[in-house]
Amino acid sequence: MNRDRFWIELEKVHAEAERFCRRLSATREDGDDLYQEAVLRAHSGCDGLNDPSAFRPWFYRLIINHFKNRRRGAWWRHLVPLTSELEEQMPGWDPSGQLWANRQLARAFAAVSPEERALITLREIEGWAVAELAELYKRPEGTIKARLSRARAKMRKALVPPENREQMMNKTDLKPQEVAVCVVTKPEKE
Amino acid sequence: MRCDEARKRMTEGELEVPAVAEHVHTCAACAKLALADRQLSRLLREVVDAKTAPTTPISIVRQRIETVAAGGQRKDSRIMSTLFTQFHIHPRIGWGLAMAVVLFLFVSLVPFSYQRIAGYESTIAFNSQVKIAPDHLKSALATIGQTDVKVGLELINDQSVFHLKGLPSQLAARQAVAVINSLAGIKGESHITPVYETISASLYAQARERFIDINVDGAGKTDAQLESEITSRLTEAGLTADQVSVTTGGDGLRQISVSAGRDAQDGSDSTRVRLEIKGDSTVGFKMMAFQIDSTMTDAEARAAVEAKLAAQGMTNAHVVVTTDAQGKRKIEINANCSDPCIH
Repeated sequence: MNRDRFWIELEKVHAEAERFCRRLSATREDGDDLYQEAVLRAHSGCDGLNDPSAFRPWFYRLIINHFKNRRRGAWWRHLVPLTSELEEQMPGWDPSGQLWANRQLARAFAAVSPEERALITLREIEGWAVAELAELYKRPEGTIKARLSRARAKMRKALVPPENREQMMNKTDLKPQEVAVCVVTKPEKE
Repeated sequence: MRCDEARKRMTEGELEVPAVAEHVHTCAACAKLALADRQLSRLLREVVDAKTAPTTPISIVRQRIETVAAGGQRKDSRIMSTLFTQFHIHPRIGWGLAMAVVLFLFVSLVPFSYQRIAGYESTIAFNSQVKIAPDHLKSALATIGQTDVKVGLELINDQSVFHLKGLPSQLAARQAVAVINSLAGIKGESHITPVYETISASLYAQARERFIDINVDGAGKTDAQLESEITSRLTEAGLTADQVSVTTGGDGLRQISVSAGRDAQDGSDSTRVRLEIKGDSTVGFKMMAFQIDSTMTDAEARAAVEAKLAAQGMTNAHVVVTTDAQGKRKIEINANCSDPCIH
């Protein structure tokens, strides 16, 4: 694919891809960085893409891979796990507000891998069909459904308060997982 | 309905199915999970419904990307930048490489003091008074290449004791003892002792000193020539070549049998010897090297030789390792193989 064709194809997915990057990342700034780096990589590597109709899944795979790499790097910047008790003592704590909702969602997303986070974001937020996801990941639809199911179960478990989680684990003999992780995010300024 | 089934169906979005709803109604733990599931759905819906920031115009994105690409500012195109990016992405590789560099520098540069053999001294005691003219002794030692040897004579009652200093090797010490015995006409009681010196060197240098590498080129040489060369190389390395035999069988394959030893007096217990014989492919030679540590037991040495042979495809080799009363080790290898090889 030549450069001119690249820009034509990118324009078709530009808005949704940039929005996806922002939703995937913790902040809008991180999302914009992710998007630009992905476009830069795609721009330099588009010569290897022969079929323009495959541009969308190819570009999204590139975004997801780049996102995973960013998350894997800089381990020293990973945030310290925070218990819900400490979280409640933090300034700005408001169980009914937007900040609380953001924190809850961040807590749920922190319980899944970057790959699962991308999958959930595409399915639940971006509204991709399972068939589209299957084409993106080059996996059967059944596999995609199973992955979605596992990711959602992890996120759901992360939202259960710790004291209830323990009671729940005892009942079902499941191994408890340390999911009390909180990533502090800034609400987006509109 | 069991909890695990209810949770599975709940994950599949079937929370409102009557059977699932009924279970959730009666099970407190599943009810909490169902609550969390509803909360998760609500949180995700809020993200979908939330206003999104305006999209960056594609023209601006294109301008930025093309500026970076055309200006050659893309760091990834440079090797070092790519490396740093990879280290950033995979920090363990970076740390591992840094540790390897530190270890290499430590092993190759940091000096440690240790003792090594600087030469040999020899004492020959005769039970009678022996008189040898100094000039005669000097010229006799010169014939074996020892011109810098210091010789002292001590007369105690009826005993004569010769002290030889400055002998470079154990072989030279043995030869010097033989020369004095020959000049005296009788055999005296001799002792050869190593002289140690303390020096500083890196761990790598220390390890290299304990490693004797003997290379023999067998290409285009007769059995006798090869036998002579192996013997001389072993002797040069300070080893006693007790038995070296090279014979060519009717099938054109050479059989090489080497038995070498080293006096334990020199204190180099952990010396490793590697005998490497390179051959001419036209006469059916194949390079073989054995590493036998003098600290190994016979069984360990045999296992090491068998493992090496097996690695070369000779699994039917018959290996016998024996150590005599003087501590000299003999290794016999008898192998049958279709490929050109050393027996």
